[in-house]
Amino acid sequence: MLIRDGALEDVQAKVETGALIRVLKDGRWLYASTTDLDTIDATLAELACSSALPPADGDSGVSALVVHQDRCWAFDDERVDALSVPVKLELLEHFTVALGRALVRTWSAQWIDQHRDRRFISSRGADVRHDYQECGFTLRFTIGEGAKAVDERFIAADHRFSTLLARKAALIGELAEVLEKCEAFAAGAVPVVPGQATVILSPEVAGVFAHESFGHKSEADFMLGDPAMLDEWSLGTPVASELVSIVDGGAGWGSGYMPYDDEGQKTGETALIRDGMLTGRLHSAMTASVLGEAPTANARAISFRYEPIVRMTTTTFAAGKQSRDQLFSEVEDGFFIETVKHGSGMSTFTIAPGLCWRIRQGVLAEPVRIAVLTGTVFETLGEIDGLSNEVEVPFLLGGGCGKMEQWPLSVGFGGPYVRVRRMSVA
Amino acid sequence: MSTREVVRIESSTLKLGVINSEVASVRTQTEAQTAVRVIDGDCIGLASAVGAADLDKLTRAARENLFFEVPYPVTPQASLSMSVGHTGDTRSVDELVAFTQTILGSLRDEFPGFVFSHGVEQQHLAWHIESDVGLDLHYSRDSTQVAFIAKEKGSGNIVDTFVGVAGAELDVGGILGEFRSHLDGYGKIVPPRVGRQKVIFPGLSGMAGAGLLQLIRSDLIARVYAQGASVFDGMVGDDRAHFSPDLSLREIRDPDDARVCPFDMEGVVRDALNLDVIRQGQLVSLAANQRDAERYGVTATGTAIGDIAQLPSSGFGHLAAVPTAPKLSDLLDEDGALLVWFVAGGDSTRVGDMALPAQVMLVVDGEGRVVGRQAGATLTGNIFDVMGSDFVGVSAEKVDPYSDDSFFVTHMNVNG
Repeated sequence: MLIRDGALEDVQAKVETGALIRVLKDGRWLYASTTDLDTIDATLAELACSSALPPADGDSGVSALVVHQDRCWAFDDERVDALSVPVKLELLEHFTVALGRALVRTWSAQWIDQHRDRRFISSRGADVRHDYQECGFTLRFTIGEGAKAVDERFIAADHRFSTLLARKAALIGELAEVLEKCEAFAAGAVPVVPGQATVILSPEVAGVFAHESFGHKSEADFMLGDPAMLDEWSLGTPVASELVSIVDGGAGWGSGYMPYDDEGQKTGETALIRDGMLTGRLHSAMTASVLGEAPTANARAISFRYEPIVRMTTTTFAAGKQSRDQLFSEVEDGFFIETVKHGSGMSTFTIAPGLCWRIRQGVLAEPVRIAVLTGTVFETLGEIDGLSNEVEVPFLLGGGCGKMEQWPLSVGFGGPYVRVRRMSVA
Repeated sequence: MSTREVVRIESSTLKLGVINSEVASVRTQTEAQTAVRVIDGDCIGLASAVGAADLDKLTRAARENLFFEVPYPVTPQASLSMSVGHTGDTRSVDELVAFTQTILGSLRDEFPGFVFSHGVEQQHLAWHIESDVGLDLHYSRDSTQVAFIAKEKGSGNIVDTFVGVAGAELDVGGILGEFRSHLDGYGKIVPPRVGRQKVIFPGLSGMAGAGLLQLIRSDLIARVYAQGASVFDGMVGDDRAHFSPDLSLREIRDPDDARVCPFDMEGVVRDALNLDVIRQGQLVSLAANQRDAERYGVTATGTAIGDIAQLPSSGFGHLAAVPTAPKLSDLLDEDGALLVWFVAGGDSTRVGDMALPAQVMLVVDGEGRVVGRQAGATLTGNIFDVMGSDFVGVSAEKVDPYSDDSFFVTHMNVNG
């Protein structure tokens, strides 16, 4: 559902049913995706007869896959797809009232809910079923005029509708705070002089950094065929400040929840960095086999349309030891990056921030406009000199991670407040 | 009196997955999506399905959704029939595997220091919009894309550079020529040029040029503009040149100019297929579909976009700048320029300041030949300068033998 500037613009529901079928033949995978489930057997036979690819030398890793038979059905007690549209619309409209402020130039409110059923069946005897559910809304708004306008958003999401309802009053309060903050930002934000500066990342921004800067580098498919990189990236190598630990795991609740991956493997937790040392990476069956490491159940596909590839689940910085106030108090001159529009990670990472504030003598000062934060991943990980002692993991509605042509994948990321001694701001 | 529109998209895709410089997997994908829109009075109901669709059932669901009274004060397009196709290669699985292996074999031999991954995709796409008031629009396109991530062995990066081509009819020689031109230059590190530099964007829709148009795409949407929230507030139609008088930018819907669909998602076919967005430096058009035009009191520009499972929104499709010179070399001097190969995650502020983190920047000579690479850097500039006094020109020469995109040349600050 979409409401824009007070008018209901879109209401729709969609059911998708499909299957991805794969056959391992002579060491290589042949895939077909279909929305016609009656054709699965015929497609299997067709793939099995195919001679499109020459035999492969390497190990596919299939023999290492654990055969599970399980059913993790977590959301049947409260199916969000069983709730009526008017009930959801009423909740959404309740929050749009707050957007009727004089400085809000234009706004939209989008409700999204989805219930996904997944089943993995293999000829080796595996049969794993699990479900995932999310519901919530994103309010997008523009506050202020012309050059001073600021675009921001407010997201509230959870696995269950009843949880959102229970948080209604608290969320209204949070929304009012955000709107007031945006009005202050629009009125007073000044541009920054490009250069190096100390920054403190909010848990949301730290999560984007963990995901984009390091998480993607931990996906082992990027290492195939590159023994030199494997040497350089051998486990036990120092890659970050010793204050830094980063983990990935799919078993916990949240937008990265996935009890089994798309090869039917039970997810757990993988320590990627512990105390600054490289301790793990993310694998599918194939990458684990080729690199001679333990599988981590990170083979994921965004839908039946695509083959599973190595992906993250929920990636977070581990908590540090300082309080949030201590982190800020030690900054004489720097920036606080509170919200993020988007981020990406290549040879260098980039974060496009939203609300940012100057820190002067340890306290928040005037709002500032920063277009991007950039840096070299390892230099920046080495520059982290403080993390607060509480981790926050926002629920990301609708998925957010893209890799190759597969976007958006439901993932989670977060962390504590993270202080970086030196980072490029522009 | 209600009108029913049926929108269908059918796709058939053959994808070869490439890992470690070899074809590692084959995937076939066939999919049909159908949406039914029922327009009744000033309201609309929509229902859609993936896979086999029962039109009667979808129509009933769309009618039921009229209950929500979603406003759509638009007279549906009627009595128009059109069928346009852009045909191209349709290789069998075996042929596409052989084609890809030939390319990869050469790349492995010639560039042993790189690992290539990602894939080759051949796709047939077909759009169809029909209605019970005589709308009957077809468009189809065959395309093949060869897109490889190139990672230098031992580099520590997940991606070092990327080479891709897409088009109707690809050939091994032409593709390898693009890889050679790029990777030969990539391997020669040259001293960085910083400060104000002449920069070249290979097109305005790819991984480099898209960032330049971010504000054009977001702030010329009718809703944003009408609410006074646009960085271009008050500038559209004011008969003043806010950009260089040499710059003209169009949304292309003429299938003779590019491999684009001539109708939008509301079934609108413009009288003049291409829409001037910037004409000789003046802002002249907003992105306004019929619904937004009615709502915000602006001119409808046939710019409805979006997924068929959603109601159409306003936005620009394929944007291209009008050439000002035949060749890239006509826009360069003996100092050459920096070719911005790809940008990851740039952004703009509300005053038009842009920051584009260029991951790969190649150095070209005065003839436009790639002669080296300098380290990635953030490019900064204000849109009114980059497309204004700093603008150099646009070539008629295309960025590769298969592309519709031209070289866009301007100046930006390179922050080392």
